Amino acid sequence: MVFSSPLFVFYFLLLSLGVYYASPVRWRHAGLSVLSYIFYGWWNPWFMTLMFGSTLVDYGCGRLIANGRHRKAGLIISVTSNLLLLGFFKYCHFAYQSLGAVAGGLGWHFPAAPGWMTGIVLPMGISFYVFQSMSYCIDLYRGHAPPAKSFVDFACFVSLYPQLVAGPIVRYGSIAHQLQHRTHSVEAFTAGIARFCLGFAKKVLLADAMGQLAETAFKAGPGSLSTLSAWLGVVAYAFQIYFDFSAYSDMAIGLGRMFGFRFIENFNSPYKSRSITEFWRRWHISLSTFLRDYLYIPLGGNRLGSGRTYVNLLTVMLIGGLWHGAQWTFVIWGGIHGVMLAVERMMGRKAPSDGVWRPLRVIMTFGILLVTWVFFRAENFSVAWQFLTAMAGCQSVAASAGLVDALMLSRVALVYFLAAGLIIWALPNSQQLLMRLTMGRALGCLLLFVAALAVLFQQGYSPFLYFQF
Amino acid sequence: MSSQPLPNPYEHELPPEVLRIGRGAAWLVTVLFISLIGLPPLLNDFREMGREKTVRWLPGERFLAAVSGQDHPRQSLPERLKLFESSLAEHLHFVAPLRRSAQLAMLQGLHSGNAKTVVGLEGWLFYRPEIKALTGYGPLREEPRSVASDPSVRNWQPPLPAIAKFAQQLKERNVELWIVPVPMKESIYPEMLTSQTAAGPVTHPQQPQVAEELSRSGAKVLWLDQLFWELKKQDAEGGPVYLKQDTHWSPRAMEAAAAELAKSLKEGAGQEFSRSEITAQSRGDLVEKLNLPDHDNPFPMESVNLHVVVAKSDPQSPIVLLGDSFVNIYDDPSLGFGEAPLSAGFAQHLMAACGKPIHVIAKNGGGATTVREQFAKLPDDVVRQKKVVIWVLAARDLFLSRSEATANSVEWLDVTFNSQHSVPVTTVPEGGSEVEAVVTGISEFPADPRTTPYASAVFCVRYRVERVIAGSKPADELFIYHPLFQKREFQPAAAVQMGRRYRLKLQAWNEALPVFQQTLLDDFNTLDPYYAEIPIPIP
Repeated sequence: MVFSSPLFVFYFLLLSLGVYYASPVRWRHAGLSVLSYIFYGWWNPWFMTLMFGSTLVDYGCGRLIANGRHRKAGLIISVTSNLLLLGFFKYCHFAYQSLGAVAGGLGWHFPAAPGWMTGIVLPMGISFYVFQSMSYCIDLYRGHAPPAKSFVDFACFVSLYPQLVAGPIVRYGSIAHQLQHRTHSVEAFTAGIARFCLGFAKKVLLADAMGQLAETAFKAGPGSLSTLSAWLGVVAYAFQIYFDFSAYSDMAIGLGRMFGFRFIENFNSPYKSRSITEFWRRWHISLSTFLRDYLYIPLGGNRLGSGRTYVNLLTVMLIGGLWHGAQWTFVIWGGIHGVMLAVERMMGRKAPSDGVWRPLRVIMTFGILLVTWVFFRAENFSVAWQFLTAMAGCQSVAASAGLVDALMLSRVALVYFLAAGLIIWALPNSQQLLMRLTMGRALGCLLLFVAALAVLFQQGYSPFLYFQF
Repeated sequence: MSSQPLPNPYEHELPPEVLRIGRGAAWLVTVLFISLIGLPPLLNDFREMGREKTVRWLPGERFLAAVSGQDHPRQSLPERLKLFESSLAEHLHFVAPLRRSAQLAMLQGLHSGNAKTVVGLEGWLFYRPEIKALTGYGPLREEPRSVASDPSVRNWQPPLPAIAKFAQQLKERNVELWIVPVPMKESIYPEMLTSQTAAGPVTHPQQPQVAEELSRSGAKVLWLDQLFWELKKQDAEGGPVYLKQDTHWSPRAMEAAAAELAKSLKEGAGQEFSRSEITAQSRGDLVEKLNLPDHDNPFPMESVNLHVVVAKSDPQSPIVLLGDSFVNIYDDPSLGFGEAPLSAGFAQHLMAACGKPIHVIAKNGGGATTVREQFAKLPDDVVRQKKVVIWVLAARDLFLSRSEATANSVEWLDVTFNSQHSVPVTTVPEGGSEVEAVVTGISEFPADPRTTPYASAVFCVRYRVERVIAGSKPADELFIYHPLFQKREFQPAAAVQMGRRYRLKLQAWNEALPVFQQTLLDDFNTLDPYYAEIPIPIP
C-alpha cells in the first residue's frame, strides 16, 4: 500500500486512526501491529511471515541479552540472522552473478544461477525493518535501552507502518520510551496532519512530475539524448529523489505524530550543502547516523589515525551504497561519496573551496552530486557512461534527440524546474516551515493536500523510489 | 503504557517543536482533515447503497471477494489485492469529475497533457508512447535492467525474431509477406512538437538496421516515411497527413499509402467498386485519452472528407490484409468516426487500388500478434491458397522498447499455424439451439480491461454438452465465444467457472456481428466456434 494512493488516504488511514483511538490504551499497540501487518502484507501477504519471523528472533535474542547470561550469544544470533536474511533476499543472486563474472573473466567455467536463485523476490522494505529490528538487540547490549515490556510492544516497534518500508530508520533506543509513555494532544495531531499533507503534496505535485522528466532522459536510447537533455534529466532525477524520499519521510513523521510518536528527522535541505561532508549531515540522516553509530564507530571511527579514518569512511560509504541495492553502480555511488568525504577530511580547513563564495560552493557540491546520481539511477556502467558522455557533449545525436529536448523544455517542464529550484534553495524545508505551527500554515497544508489529491487522480499514483531499496 | 517516562539516549536527534496553534484551531483543522478523507467515500457508499437498495458496505464486500478469490479466481492473492485497489478508485464517484477538472486546469494553466497525450503546438496532440518509441532503446538493443526494474517485464520477445519466424512460416506455405509500418505522427510533424524544423522525417536511429533485418528475414517492407513527408510538403491543398487530435493518419495519407502499396504489389486495373463521398467528425482518440470534462472540452470536432468504397472482405481472396486500427479507422465506428461502419478505410481503398476484393483481418490494438494468430488459425488448405499477406502495423509497435511495450500491452508472440483442413461452417438450426453444458476450459484473459489496447473483447470457453434443451445437439464438445468486456467493463460471462454447469443459447459465430470484429482471446485454436451472449449458471 502506498501513502499517496486512494486506498490509503480514503480508507486505510481513517480505519487505522479509528481503530487506534477507539481502542483501550493497553490494546493500542496490538491494534497498530495488526494494521501495520495488513499494510505491509498488501504487497504480498507471504512477506508478513518473514517480518514476523525476524521479529520473533530478535525478541528472543533481546530476552537472552536482557537475562544477562548469554548477552554476546544473543547479539551474535540477532546480527547474524538479520544479515543472513538481508543477504539471502537482497544479495544472493548478485554475489553469485559477480562471482560468475570474475570466473568468466579468468576463463573458468561457472554454472548459471539456479532457477530458485533468479526467482528470489526482494520483500518490500526489508532493508529498513531488518536494520530497525537489529538495532533493538544492539541497543539492549549497549545498555542504551531497556528490553521491550512485551512481544506486542516489540512487534509494534518493528512493524509500525508509518515508517516501515522507507524510513526514517527508527532505532529502538530512540523510541523505547515512547512505547511506554507518549502523550496525545489535538495540537500534536494537527502538527501530524500538516506534516503529512505537506509530504503528500510534495510527492504528488513535485516528485512525480520530476520523475516523468527524469525518465524521459534516462530512457532515451543511444543517439536520442542531447547534452542539454542529459543535464536537465539528471537535475530532474536529483529533484525527484529528494522530493520523493523527503516526502515519504514527511508523511511518516506526520503519521507518527498522529499516533503520538516522534521520529527522527531524515532530511535538512541537503542540496543547500557546501560540501559532501555537510551533505551527509543533511541527507538520509537516519541512515547516516545508523551507519555512524553501528558501523563507523565500531570500526574505530577517527580514533585510530588518519589513514584508518579514511579507510573507515570509504568502507562505510561502500556498504551504504550496497545497502541501496545489489548492483555495482550503487557501490560506485557510495565509493565516490566515500572518496569525497576522505578528501574533504584530508584537506580540512585548507580545502580550496573554503575561500569560495558560498553560493558557488553550493553549486559545486550540487554538481558533484549530479555526477553521483547518474551512477545511482543508471541500470549499469554502460548506461552511466553513455549518460555521462552525453552530459560532457561527447555523443553524436540523431534527429530524434529533438523530441526528447521538446519534452524536457516544454512549458510545463520549465515551470516545474523553476518551482522545484525555488523550493529547494530559496524556501525553508518542511521541518523548518512547520516547526512553528500556526493556523494559517495548517490550513495552507490542507489546501495543498486537496490540490495534490486532484492531481493524483489525474496522473495516477506511483510508488516511492526508496521502496525498491 | 506506564506513566514513568524512560530516558531517550538519542534525545538530541529530535528537533525542538513549538506548537503555536490554539486548541480550537487545532480541532478545526483536525475535523476538516478527517472530513476530507472520510466524507467522500462515505457519501459514495451511501449513494451506492441507495442505488442497490440494500444496506451493505460495498468496498468491504469487494475486499472479501478479492481475498476469498471469488473475484478473479485465477489470479494470485497479491494480484487480486492490486486489482481490488485499482477498482476501488474507479468506484469512487467523485474521482472522475475531479480528475477531469484537474486535467482541464493543467491543460489551460500549464499547457500540460497526461501520461498518454502530449500537447504540442497549434492544437496538435501527440501520443506519448510514440515519442518513447521514437527515442527509446528500440528493438535491436537490449534495454538495460536494474534491481529496480519491474520483474514482470523479463519474459518479452522482441519483434524481429517473431516477424522472422512468421515470414518463414509463410514462406514454407508459399505465401509472400509484405510489411507496411505506418510512420509515427511525430516522425512527420516534429515541428509541431519541437518548433524546430527538420530536413526529413524523424525516424528512430535504428531504423536502417531494422529495415535490413526485416529484409533479411525474407519479408518485403514498404516504408512510408518519405512518401508522407512529400505529402506533407504539398499540404496546402490536400490537408494534413495526420489528424491533429488523433494518433491515426488522415484519409489523404491512407489513400496514398493504399495506392503506393498496390503499385508495389503490381496490382491495378480490375474490378471497379462503387464510390461516394461523405463527411465525418470525431474529436480524436488523443483528446479522449486526455479525459476532459464533456461540457467544457476546449478541443473542437475534427472533420474529414471520406471516399466511401463499397467493397467487402472476401475470405476466398489470395491476398490477405492483416492490420490494426490504422486499417479500421475510417470503417469501424468505435474508433470515433460515424455511427455505423463507413466503408472508407484502408482495406476498402486497397481493394479499389488493387481492383480486387481482399481477405481482411484487422483488430484494433492487435496488430502485433492477434491478427497473426487469427490468420494462423485458418485451415491449412485455406492458408496455402493465399499468395500474399500484407501486414499493416503501427511503426510504434515495432520500435517500442521492452518496458514500454509491456506497459502498452504490445506482445510479439510466435504463432502456430493450424494443420487441420477446412470443415463446414457452423450452423445453428432454425429456431435456435439451447443446451446445458459444463465448462471444461477457459481461455486466458487479462485481469484488468483498463490495461489492454482494445476496449472490447470476446473470449473462448470450452464446454461439454450435458443436455439439449431446444433444437438439435450440435456436438459433444463446444467452443463458444462470449463477450468478455465491452468498453473496458467486464461482462457477466467473464465470471464463468471451471466445472460449473451453464445454460447456453447458441448462435453461429459467423453471424454474430458486430462482435465478430472484436479482439478474440482463444487458447483452443477453435475452428468451429459458436457464440452465446450470457451463460446462465445452473445451480
